[in-house]
Amino acid sequence: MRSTDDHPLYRLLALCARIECDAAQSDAIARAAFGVTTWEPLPSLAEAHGIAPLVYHHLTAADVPLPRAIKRAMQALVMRHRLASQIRTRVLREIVARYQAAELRVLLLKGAALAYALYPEPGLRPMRDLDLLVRPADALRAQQLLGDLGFVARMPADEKSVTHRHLSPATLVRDGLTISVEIHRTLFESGAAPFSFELDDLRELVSVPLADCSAWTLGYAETLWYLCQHLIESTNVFSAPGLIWVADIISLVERLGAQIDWARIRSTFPQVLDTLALLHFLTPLSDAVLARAQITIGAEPRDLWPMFEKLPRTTPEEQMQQGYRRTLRAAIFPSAWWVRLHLGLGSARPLRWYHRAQYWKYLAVRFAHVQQRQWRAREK
Amino acid sequence: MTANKPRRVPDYRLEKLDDELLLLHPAQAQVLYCNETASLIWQLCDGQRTGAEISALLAEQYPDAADVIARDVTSTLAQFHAHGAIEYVA
Repeated sequence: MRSTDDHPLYRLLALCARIECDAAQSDAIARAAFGVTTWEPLPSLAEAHGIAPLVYHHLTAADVPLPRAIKRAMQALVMRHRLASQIRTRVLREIVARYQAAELRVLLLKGAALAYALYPEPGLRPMRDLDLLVRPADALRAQQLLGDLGFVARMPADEKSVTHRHLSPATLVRDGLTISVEIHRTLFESGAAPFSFELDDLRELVSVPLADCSAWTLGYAETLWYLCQHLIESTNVFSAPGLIWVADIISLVERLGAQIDWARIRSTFPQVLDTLALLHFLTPLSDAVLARAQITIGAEPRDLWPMFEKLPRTTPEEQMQQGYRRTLRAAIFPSAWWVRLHLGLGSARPLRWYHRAQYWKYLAVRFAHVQQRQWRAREK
Repeated sequence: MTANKPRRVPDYRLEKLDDELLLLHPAQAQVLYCNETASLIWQLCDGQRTGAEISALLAEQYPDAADVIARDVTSTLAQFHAHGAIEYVA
């Protein structure tokens, strides 16, 4: 097993997965940077994890000297994300204004909300899609309105033919940037998460300042739960946790922790606390958050850093190219951190043999599900 | 190449960063670092002037460097074109 010291670049990236750093965290970044022997992969890794602007921001603040070529590459990424963000913001405002004019209720989700409600500058929060939640009954109309705005928006035949939680992405090229919008009907597929909220289920909403117009997003507790659930769902043997999602979660609890109803989190969304207890090993939570959330931190799970060798969003085919044995081993014996994340064990509760068995059952169900899908596809 | 008229491809932007100028596109990872001459050439790529006319304009401004300007303009336009930042119009 490799030690943490074998992965200084991942450790450094993970430490930068947050908006703000206090003096101790900034020192930790400087120390981690001291252990980095090769900087070449930094821009592409930071970009793959969606945190290039945050990484550059923190490395600059910590006075970390970067090789000239790396510094230039990081600066270029920062500028490009800033430019992309300006274009995306204009389009998002147009969409929100159009929906408001059509009296169609919409909530901004994930990056589309957090870039404006949480991050000090939207350019610090890169994103691939704009995710919007509407009432299931409004989904087709929402997609049609995107078409009216110039998006290429594939329309389903009728409401009944829509089974996925979101419609096909609608795309628009504006000023050279392809902007993709996903209209969500629910937050998760039915059965994929303990809850699957629709827009009308959400009572507490938070205003999102969007230049001269105002939009809305989920309340803090629901946002936190949604982000954690999304992280759990998206992290598997083929994908390490995307560090931008870690940055979203950690920054939300650090910046707005005083406004979060922790008693409600404990009673309704306990998996949030379990997730935070594991994210703490990537980028540490402050004492204030640990006290507010009443989280107990255990020992660092083994195999945390090798997991990051698997970049987010690499396909199973790419993973298989690295050798099926490695992929198979990772699938059958995943990292303890990952098993804890999926089973909601936090970091302090013991990991027993039956937890592993529970995971293998999950694996068998997933495998059967994939096989079933392939059979169905062949039959069609 | 210089007989055709180079025109800036829309969506590219010239941004200042410290002492350098960057030519960047919101959807492309690669950027072009420009010196002062390259940024001048970029701004003169309006689809109205040929490469030779751009060289002549610059040579008028910098007569001492007239002999290298034509070569610089040709190589800079080739770089812009290879990057996709300009297109040639008749």
